[in-house]
Amino acid sequence: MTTQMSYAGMMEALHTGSAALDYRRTGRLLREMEAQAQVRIALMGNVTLDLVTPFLRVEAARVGQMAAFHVSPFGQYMQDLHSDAFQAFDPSVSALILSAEAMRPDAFERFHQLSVEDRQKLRDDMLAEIEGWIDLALARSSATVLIANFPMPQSALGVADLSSDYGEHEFFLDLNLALMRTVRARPRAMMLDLAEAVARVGTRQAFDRRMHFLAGLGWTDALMREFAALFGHALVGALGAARKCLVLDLDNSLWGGVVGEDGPHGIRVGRGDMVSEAYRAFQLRVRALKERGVILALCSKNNVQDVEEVFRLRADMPLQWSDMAATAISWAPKYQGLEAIAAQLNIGLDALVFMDDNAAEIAAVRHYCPDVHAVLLPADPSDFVTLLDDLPWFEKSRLTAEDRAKSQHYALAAKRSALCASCDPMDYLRDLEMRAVIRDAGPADLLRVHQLFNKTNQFNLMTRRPSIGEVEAMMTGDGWHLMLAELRDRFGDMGIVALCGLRRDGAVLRIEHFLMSCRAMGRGLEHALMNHVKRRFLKAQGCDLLEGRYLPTAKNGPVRGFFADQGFAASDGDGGGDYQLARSAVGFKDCDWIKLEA
Amino acid sequence: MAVNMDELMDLVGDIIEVDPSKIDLRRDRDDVPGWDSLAHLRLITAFEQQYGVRLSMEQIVEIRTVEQLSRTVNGA
Repeated sequence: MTTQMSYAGMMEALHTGSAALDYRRTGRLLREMEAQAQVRIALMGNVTLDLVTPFLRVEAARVGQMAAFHVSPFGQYMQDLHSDAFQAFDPSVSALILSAEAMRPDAFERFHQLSVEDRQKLRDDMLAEIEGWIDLALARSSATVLIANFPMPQSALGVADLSSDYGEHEFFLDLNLALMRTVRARPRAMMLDLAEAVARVGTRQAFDRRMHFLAGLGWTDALMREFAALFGHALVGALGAARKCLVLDLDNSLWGGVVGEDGPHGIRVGRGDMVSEAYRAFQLRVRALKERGVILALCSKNNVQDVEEVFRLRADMPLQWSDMAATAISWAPKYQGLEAIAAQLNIGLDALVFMDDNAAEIAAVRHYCPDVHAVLLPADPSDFVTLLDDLPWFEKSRLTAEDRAKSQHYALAAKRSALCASCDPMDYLRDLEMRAVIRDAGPADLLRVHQLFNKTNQFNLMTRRPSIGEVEAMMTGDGWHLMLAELRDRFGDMGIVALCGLRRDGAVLRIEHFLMSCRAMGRGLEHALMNHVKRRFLKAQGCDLLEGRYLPTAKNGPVRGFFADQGFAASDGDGGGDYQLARSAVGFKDCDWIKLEA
Repeated sequence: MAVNMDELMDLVGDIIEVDPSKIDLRRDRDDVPGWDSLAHLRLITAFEQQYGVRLSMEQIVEIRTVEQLSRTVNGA
């Protein structure tokens, strides 16, 4: 077998989530590729983490990230945060994985002889140490920090432990709960659910005592695999790399049977028989994705009247027509439907996940739209929910108010388009009755601002992707101004949709970031934001020169002419380049259809 | 069950990352580049999975050559 073939096979296995994936070979191929690392992962703890890295490398690749690793010397998780090696590595993610027994060997050897007070002290003491590490790690790098929790050990007291006052079970439940709350209080920290990985594998299959004594890590391959998979999920959340939209097929995907043959009451979904219940459970799970800010769409080969009739007559289905932000129902090939959906929602194909029960359709989508993550549904609908849960693509580190309202935003966008089609563009803008707030970003905006930096592709002049730590630095750093714009119209509140990051250097003010969500494009909000910058800094605060830069990417063509349009002069050619606006040349763009509020 | 030596060499080569045909059956693992302690554990884990055996901690430590490893199955 040539390297070429095995590489293609590996990518195929990674993409399809094949269970036949050979971790050892895949890990080595990835390592040998020596591709530019997209994510730098620092691993720290008091167990032999070198054994885990090959698994993490594979799972990082599965979520599209080539990973480089820095593994701290055994047990030196505190000291290493101060090391030059750690600083030079400059991680994007740092993970702390601790064995409780190795952390406090004396206490755990005589756990059952300790008084309840001493056990509570032990808990507080361990928590304080971990909290100290988290805060130091947050201060020493801009990485997101991931903290593994503790699997429940088998108690030496047997079943009596469960009825003991602050026994081992209660101790670890309490420790994990307190740890979760500690981590939750820090926006740049996330839990790694090691206890869940152990539960999924099963305690008896998860640990190998021989390896514990021989190597300082008693994890079986099965546990390392499961843990690495959860790590991949956390990575998507930590990096803000989630996809935006789930597109679903209908027949034998969202319901059993074929609507064109079985009719709206013949398809199987809802209360009653087991198959209908299974499809109903899947619909409920899909609907729950909306709470995570995932938008939903339909792509199906059917007569559109048949499908509309199902949604009209089957109000008992968990998913309703109004849940769908976009639909492509026709007899055209599915990949064309997916392209239409992406265009309709103004997002890239790489923001889509597509699920279908038809292998030929999935193969065609993978061929024509390789950026779409296409998932083949298995034969039995009772397996659909687990398959959906195992997809890492919809993971968020935590949910923002914008996430919860996301599908509503897109539904409103559809209503706005309907209005747009019926009148002249200027009347349309006025008719929206837009109101905007432009203000400095504050700590409460951190997550949304970070999300916007990482998700905005089209209206993004520089397309820089700062980490959460770097965003924090912009909010508090000397010479930095990070401004945001919130927009609402008569259809609803869109929340924070535009950002402008400025850095002042004497009399020169440099625009380091300027971006706006695709949902707000075509409204003129960019004029309002730029007018505000000109007014505040060139007029009021005495800057002499405003500098901007356009860095072209594959996606930001729509803003190629932005700086010229705003009255800036190009200092070189018309491609990517630097632009300047002197105080004497300042002018303002008309956008009186947006009312500014304080 | 007997160990097919070609198959075993492929497994060892895969893990310590050398050409299987260059592996000396009787060479001590300390003298084999790539056969460090982590590779040894990976090899034992893969070997156990492939041949359906379970070695004791002492056996794991005492195995120094490919030949000794093969005998844990052949000798059973």
